[in-house]
Amino acid sequence: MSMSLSLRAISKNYGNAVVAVHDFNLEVAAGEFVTLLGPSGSGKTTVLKMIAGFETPSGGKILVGTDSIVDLPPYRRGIGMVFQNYALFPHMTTSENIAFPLSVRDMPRHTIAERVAEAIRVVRLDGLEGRYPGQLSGGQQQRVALARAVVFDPRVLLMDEPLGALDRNLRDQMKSEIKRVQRALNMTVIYVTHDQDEALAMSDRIAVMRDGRIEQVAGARELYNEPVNSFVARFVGESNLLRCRIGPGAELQLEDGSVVKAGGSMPPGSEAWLLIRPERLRLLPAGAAVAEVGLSGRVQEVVFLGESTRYLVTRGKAQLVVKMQNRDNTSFQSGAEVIVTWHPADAVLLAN
Amino acid sequence: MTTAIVGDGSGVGKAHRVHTLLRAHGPLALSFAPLAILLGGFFVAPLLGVIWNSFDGFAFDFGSYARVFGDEIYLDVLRRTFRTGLVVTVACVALGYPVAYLLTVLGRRAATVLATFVLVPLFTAFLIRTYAWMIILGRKGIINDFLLWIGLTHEPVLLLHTSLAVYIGMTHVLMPIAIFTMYAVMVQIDRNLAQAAQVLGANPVRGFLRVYFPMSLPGVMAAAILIFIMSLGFYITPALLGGPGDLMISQLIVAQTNALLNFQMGFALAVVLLVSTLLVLFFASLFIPLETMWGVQMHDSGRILRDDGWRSSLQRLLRAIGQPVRLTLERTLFAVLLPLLPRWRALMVAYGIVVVLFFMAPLIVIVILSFSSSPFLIFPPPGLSWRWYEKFLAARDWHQAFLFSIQLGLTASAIAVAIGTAGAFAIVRSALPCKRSLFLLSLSPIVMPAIILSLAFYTYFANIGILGTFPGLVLGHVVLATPYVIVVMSSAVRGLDRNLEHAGAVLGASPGQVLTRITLPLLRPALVTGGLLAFLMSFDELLVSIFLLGRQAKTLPIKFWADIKYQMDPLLSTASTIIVFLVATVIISGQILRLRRERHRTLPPTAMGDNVP
Repeated sequence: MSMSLSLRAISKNYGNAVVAVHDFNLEVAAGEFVTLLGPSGSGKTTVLKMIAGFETPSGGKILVGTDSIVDLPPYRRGIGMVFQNYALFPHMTTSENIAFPLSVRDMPRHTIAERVAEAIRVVRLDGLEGRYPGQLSGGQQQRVALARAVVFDPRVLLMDEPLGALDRNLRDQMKSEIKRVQRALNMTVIYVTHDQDEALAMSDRIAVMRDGRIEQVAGARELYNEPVNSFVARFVGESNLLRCRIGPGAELQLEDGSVVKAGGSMPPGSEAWLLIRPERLRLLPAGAAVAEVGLSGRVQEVVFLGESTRYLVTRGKAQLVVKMQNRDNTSFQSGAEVIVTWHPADAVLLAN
Repeated sequence: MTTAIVGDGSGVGKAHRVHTLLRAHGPLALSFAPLAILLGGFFVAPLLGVIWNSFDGFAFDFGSYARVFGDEIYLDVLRRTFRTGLVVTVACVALGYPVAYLLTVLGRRAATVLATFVLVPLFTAFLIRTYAWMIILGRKGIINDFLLWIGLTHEPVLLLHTSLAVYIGMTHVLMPIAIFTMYAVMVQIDRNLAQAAQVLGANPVRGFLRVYFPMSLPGVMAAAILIFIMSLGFYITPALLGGPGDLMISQLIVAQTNALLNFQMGFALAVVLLVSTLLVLFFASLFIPLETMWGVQMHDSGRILRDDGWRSSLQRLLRAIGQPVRLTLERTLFAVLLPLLPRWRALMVAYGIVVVLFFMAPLIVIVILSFSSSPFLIFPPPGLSWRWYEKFLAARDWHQAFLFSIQLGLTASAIAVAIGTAGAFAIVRSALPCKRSLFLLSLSPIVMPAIILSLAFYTYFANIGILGTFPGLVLGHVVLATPYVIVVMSSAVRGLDRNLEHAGAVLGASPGQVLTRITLPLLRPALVTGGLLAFLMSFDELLVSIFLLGRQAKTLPIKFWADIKYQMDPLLSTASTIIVFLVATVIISGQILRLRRERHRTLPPTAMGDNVP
């Protein structure tokens, strides 16, 4: 039975000096898929370990549904977990691995057999029941780990970088596979990763973490389009960040002195970042008429990516990344003088 | 609201810290206790007793030491002990190095076969192997027969009861240990490095000398130290193969205590041997982490050669002087070896076969002799018969010794496995600051010369009233056997993926269930290996048993020892053959099981596919 998960004012410090997690608050609804996204050392794995019970919070509460679980040892928490390298028991077959959580709960044998068969069917492992983990491919091991974690109908499912060990093709397949199983079982999932693609593709909401704190919790679209600060902007998606000072009216003064228009409601005189995603920028040949805003520059590097082309444009010391769809045959050569332009509504102002 | 939660939280946190501390460290501390009692109460304390008694306690009578260092006879024995150690060490390391290398380059099946041929003699009792060398080297032994037959000599050459016999016997006994110690280091060397050296322009000889050999050096050092220390305390081989002029320090101690009943002198000599051993170990620790000697590593001693101050400047100096010498050496070697290089592999394999023959020859001789029809030790036997097996079947004293040794071995190894496994968990998993020292201390009975421990146990056990009892004998064997269990179990526990236990816990298994259903099953191969080593250690033990036995039934090695000295007949060969056969069966079936398990748990990559339905 999936349940909601509440993390309230969780903190974790090792000794006196190191604070791994600081005042962490997160409410996860039943059946929701929430990802903790952050660079290594941001505390996301520590949070996961505290939910699982391998680490004890220095302060705060963890509730599953309405029950506090902080005082329970891991084996009494009723939480499923998929480990980074799967942690499949090498001395047990696929079936035995999946049956493990049921048999340690002393379930009757026929119930175990039924539920293992059901789980094997759900993750599509039919025919591999008798194999040992060493005889399975990476993707198959991943499925066993998933089946083992959900077979006992845990209240919450934790996933610790489960796709890290797979190659790229397999990773894409497993992303949709995990999502399919999660929807089919309506699982509450806490998913930890440092890979933004995984986070964007699967999550209902994403919590971006840095230095043991949450920077922003939001859906993928909101996180991408309206990051709250430059860290989130840099970490999620590719971004052009320009330092600027708010001028009077809707004007911004960039570092090199040029002035552009932008929306936003910041007090004049304050410092800020101007964020524009590469796909929102367009290149025009030098001398073309510019409707809204435009900055001149020189194409330094051209990378053809198939469906799009990626340009690196230098403007003084600053560099801008421009990604344009290859809808027609317009293209710019390296060294060409160009104008970079965008729609003022596509630019986001971020507080410093 | 927020403050309430924070206040609540920190209170929970404090209670939890204590709780967590207990939960995390309580079981570990508890699991270390038996080992601590064993080491403190029955290893360190008896050794301190030897030192205390060597100057007669409060009398502070250092007369025995004055005699040891004043008398030319004692000094002579000391010098000879060190010289023998040196010769045997060089022989073991130099002859064993190519075999260790061969083990790393052969395919898995061939390597397993070669390893078996090294393992079987390694686990065959010292006594049996030494006995075989007595037959081979004797006045009417195989070698002399051969020399007479081809007419190289008309008189039998004196081989037995010479220093040469001692060297051969000790090398035979110790070389397998040297091979496995060096192998443990060599197997970790990335073989791409040698190829990289060649691609970068080094010829094979130079590539080997500059890349592979320096990287294998810690293994060579470790093997050399281990062999040297072990040979310092040797007793059986020099006693049986050497002449009166080959007396080594252990024999001297036995003579002083058992024959002359001059215990204080024995204690003083034991302390001299003890201090020598510790000095060698200290010297070694300057260059290699001592764990390398047992083929194990604590994860925090990763650096192989420490690089500080005087040592590195010394190395630089040596390098500067050695450079021209080295270049010449490399060139000469390359020129000499060039014609051999195309057949290098065949040559290595041929050498491996020669070494295997050297290892196996004594065992083969014993097996053949056991079927002799002659009442005397004649080789080759005049005819074949079952008479010695029939005699063995009727020999109640042999059966008794056999059963007693099995009973003793099973008891001691069971206790050693329990104590050693629990201790290994504590040593590997606890966060104790001094755990490396504890680890080294717990392994040190392996390198402690048996005669020192025998003497130490003898007086200490007499004081606490368990001398001559079965529990006393078991306890002595447990002290000797536990380190072998720790060597095996500590690396097994370190190699255990803790996530597997975490996975078990989070999936609902209680700590007890995690232990019985995950941890122990995963450790089973190591538990079997550790138990087997402990059993064989006890089954092969002579000196400590002689001192601790009292009026109990004889152990197998003691029965053997007595018979070698008083009645050399083929019955000994028969008993040996049966033992060798049993040991070989255990080792070979272990190897086959291992190969089969590996095959059954993994498939060749082609058999797997990522067929997503």
